[in-house]
Amino acid sequence: MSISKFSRVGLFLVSMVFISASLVACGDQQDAQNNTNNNDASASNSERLKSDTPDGVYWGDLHIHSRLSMDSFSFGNRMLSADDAFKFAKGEPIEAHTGDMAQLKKPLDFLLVSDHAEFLGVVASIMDRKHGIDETELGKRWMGWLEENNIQAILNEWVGMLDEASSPVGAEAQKIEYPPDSFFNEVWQDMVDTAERHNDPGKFSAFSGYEWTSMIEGDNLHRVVIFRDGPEKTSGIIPVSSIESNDPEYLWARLDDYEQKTGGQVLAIPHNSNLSEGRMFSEERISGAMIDTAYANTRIRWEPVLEMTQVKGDSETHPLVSPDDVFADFENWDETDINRNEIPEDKKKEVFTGSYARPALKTGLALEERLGVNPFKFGMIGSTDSHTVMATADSDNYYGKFVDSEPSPERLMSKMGGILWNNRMLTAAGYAAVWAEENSREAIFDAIKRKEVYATTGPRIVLRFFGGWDFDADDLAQADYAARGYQKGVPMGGDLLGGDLKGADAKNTAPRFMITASKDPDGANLDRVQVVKGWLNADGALQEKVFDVAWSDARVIDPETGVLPLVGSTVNVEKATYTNTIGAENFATVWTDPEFDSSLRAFYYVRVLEIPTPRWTTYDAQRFNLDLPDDVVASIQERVYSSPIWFTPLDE
Amino acid sequence: MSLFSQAWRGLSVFIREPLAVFIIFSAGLYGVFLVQKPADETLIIVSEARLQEFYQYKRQSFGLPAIANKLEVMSTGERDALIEDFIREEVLVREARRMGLDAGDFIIRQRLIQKLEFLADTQADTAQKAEALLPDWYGTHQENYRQPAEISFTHIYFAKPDETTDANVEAARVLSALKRDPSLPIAGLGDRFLYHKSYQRKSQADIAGHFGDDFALAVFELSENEAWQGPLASRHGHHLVRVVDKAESKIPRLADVREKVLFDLKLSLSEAARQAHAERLQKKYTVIYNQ
Repeated sequence: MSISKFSRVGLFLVSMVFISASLVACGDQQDAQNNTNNNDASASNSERLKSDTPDGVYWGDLHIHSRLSMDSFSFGNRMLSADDAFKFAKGEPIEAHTGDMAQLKKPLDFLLVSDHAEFLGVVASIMDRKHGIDETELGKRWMGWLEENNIQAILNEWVGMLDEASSPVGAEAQKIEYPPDSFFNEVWQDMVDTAERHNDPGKFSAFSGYEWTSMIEGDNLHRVVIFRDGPEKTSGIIPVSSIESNDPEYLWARLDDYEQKTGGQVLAIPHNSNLSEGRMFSEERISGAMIDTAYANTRIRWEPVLEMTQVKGDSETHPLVSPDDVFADFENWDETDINRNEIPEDKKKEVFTGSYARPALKTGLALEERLGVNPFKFGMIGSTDSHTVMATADSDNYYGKFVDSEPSPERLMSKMGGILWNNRMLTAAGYAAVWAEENSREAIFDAIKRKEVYATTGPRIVLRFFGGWDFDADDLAQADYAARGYQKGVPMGGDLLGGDLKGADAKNTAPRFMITASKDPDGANLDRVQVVKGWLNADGALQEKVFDVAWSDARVIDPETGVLPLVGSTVNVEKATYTNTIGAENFATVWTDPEFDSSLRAFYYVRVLEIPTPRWTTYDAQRFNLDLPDDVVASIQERVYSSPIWFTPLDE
Repeated sequence: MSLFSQAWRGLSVFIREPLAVFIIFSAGLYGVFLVQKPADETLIIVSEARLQEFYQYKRQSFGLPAIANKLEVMSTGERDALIEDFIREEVLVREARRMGLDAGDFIIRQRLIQKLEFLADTQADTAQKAEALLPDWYGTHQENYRQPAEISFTHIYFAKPDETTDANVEAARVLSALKRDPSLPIAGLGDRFLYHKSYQRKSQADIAGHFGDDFALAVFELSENEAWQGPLASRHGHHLVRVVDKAESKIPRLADVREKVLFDLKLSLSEAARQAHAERLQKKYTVIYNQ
C-alpha cells in the first residue's frame, strides 16, 4: 500500500487524536496515583490466618510485561498497563487486543510486572507525553517514527543499543542518547505505586520489580529482579539496565548496593537458559575468568531460583543431555539462541549442558567439589513472560506472548512480531508455586529465597516433597504429615547432610523422601511421580537417573527393561478433549533411594506428569476449524518440577 | 528594578526555552481559533479575555478561579507588563507564521495539537469533575465493585470410610472430644488431606475446586465461631471446620474503595472526553482521499 500525501494527512489526524487522547488519560492516571499516596485507609484486612509452617501453596507469575516494555509496546500493546496486569491476575476480565474479554478461570495469588529496564517506559511515555521524555532529542525522533508508525526504525535503534551493550569489548556501534535517570525514576515510581495499589496482604501479593535484559552475542542471560519491599524502600531506585553492563556480576553488585542502602531485600531470577547457547550455566564468567569461590557465593546469594518453564520453552533438560529420559523431549526450543542464530548440530550437546537446568544442577555438584560452594544450587519456578499483561498458562485458555499470538485463526501459522519464531512454537506455561505461611510479599519472597517453590507448566498440581532419614508410611498417613515433614526432615529446596548420619548404621542409611501430589481439581489426572537424581561419582563423572516412584492404573514395571509403560491417552485430537478415565487423582509415597552412596554429592527433585491432554494448538485447531500443523505435537503431558533437595556428604 | 524589566527578564529566559516557543505559537494560534474569524494581519486586539488566556498560559495553570481572577486584582504595573508581553509575543507569532515557520515542522504541529487537547481537557477539568461525580457514579456502577463472600477456615479431615472406620462416625467422635476439651491438640487428628489444612480469604468458587460444590455451599452457612462445627461432607470424606473469619458478599462503602473507583471514573471520563473531542475535531475537517 502506497501512502499518498492525503492518506498521510489522514493518518496524521487519526494519530493526533490518539496521541492527545492518551495524554489526557495519563494526566488522570498520575492524579489517581497521587491520590493513592494519600489514601491507604482501605488497605486494612480482615483477620489473617497465619500458620507456623508453610501450609498453603500460592500460585503466581513473576514475569509479565506491560506496555512499558519496549517490545511489548512495539509489537502492538499500546494500551494494556501494569494496572491491567494486576486486575487480570486477580481474576477480573480485561479486553484483549482481539476484542475478546479475556479472563483467568482461577485467579492468581501474586504477580510481578517485570518490564524491561532497558528503555523502560520510553515509547509509552513518548506516546503519553509523560515525564518530559518528549522534550529530549530521542523523544522527538522516536515520536516522529511513532507518528509514521515506523516501529521498525525505533526497534532498530533499540536493538542496536542492546547489541552494542552485548558486543565484545572494543566493538564500536552507533550510540544513541539514553534518557536521564530522572526519567527512569519517575517511570519506576509509577510502577511501584501501581503494585502498592494492588497489594492486598492475605489475599493478593503485588510485587515490584523489572527485567534486566542482557544478551551477549544472542545468548540470553535475562534476569527478573524482584523486591521484597514496598515503596518506602524501593521508591528511590532506578532499575539496573544491561546497557550499563551486560555482566550479571554488575547486576549483583547493584542489588547489593540497594540492600546496603535501604535495608531492603531483592533477588534476581534468570530465565530462558534454553536460549543462552550454553552461557547461562557456563563455568566461564563474562570476563573470561573461570568461576571461583567468591563468584559461586555471590551468584547463589542473588539467584536462588531459576524460571525454568515459560512461553519460550521448557529448560528442564534435553534429550541430547538426558538420553535415557523418555519425557525429556518437551517444548525445548532447541534450534537457536535468543537472536535466532542457529546452533550447529555438532555443538548442541555441549551447548545444552550449559543451557538446561538438570545438567546445570549436575555441574553445580562438580563445582562445589572443587570450590566448596555450589553456584548452581537453584530451585525452580515457572512464569509466563507474557508481553500482553495476560498471565495465561492454561492450554485451553491461552493468550500467547505478544499481541499477534492472542487467539485468532491466524496464530497457528503466523510469526511473532511478523518476523520472529512461529507463534505455534509457544508453550502454554507456566506459573510459580510457593509454599508459604500466608499470602504476603514477605512470606512469598522468603519462600523463594529458601527455595520452597516449584514450577508448573500450567496445572495447579499440589506437590509436597520432604527429605529425611526416617520417614515411614505411618508419617504419610497422618493428617499433620507436613508438620512431621518439617520436624523430621527438610522441605523442597533444603539440604540433607552427611553429618546427620550417626552411629553404626550410618553407612547403611539412605535418604527417604515423603512425596504427595494432588491433581489440579479442574484439570487432568496424574500419570506418575518421578524422582530425578543427579550425582557426582568418585571419579568425577556426573550421573543422572530418573526413578518412577508412584504411578496410576496398577501398571507394572517391565522386569526386562525396567521401564514403566506409558499411561496411554484419552485425547481426541479432532474434538480437543480428554477424559479422566485413566490416571490418578493423587499420589502419596515414601521413597528410599535404592542406590545411595553416602560419600557422593547428589541432588533429588520431583517431576509429576499429568496424563496426556491436548496441546494449546490442538484446542485452537478445533476452535477455529483448522488443520493442525505437522511440526507441533497434538498432545502433551503437563508437569510440575519441585526444587531439589541436595545431599552433601560433609559435616556442617 | 521596575516590574516591567523584571517581567522582561523573566520572559527572555522563558523565551529561550524551546518549550516557550511552542507555547507561544500555540497560544497565538489558539487566540486565532477563539476569534473564529480571520484577523486583520496587522491588527492586534487586546481584550480582557485574550489577556486572561495569555496569563494562564504563562502561568501554565488553567481552570483555577484564583488565576482567572488574578487579572482583576493586578497592579497597573503588572498589567502593563503583561500587555507588553502579550503584544510582543503576538507579533512574533504572527511574523513566524507569516514566514511559514509553523507549517512544515512536525514538532510544532504536535505541540499545537497537544496544547489544544490539553486545553480541551482542562476545560472539561476531569479531575474536579470526577471528584464531584464520584458518589453518583459509584451509585450506578457499584455492582462492579461487589466483593464476593470470603471465608477463612481450618479443618480436620476424615477420609472416606474403609472396612474398619466410618468417616462420619469418627468425625462425630472427635467433635464431641473437642467439645469436652477445646484445648485438645488437633495436629494429629483425622487423616491426610489432598490439599490444605487452612484456607484464607477464599471465595465459594475457590473452595469448590478443592472440596466440591456441596461443601463449598455448606461451609458458607457456618457461623464465624471459635468452636469446631460439622461434620460437613465433601467429595473426599468428612470435615470438622473452624471458621476463623467470614465476610458476606457486599457492595463496599465508597470510602473503602475510593481510590480504585476514582481511578476508574477518571479513565471513563477521559475516554468520553477523548471520544467527544475526536468527534468535534473531525467535524472541522473535510478529508479528501486523493489516490
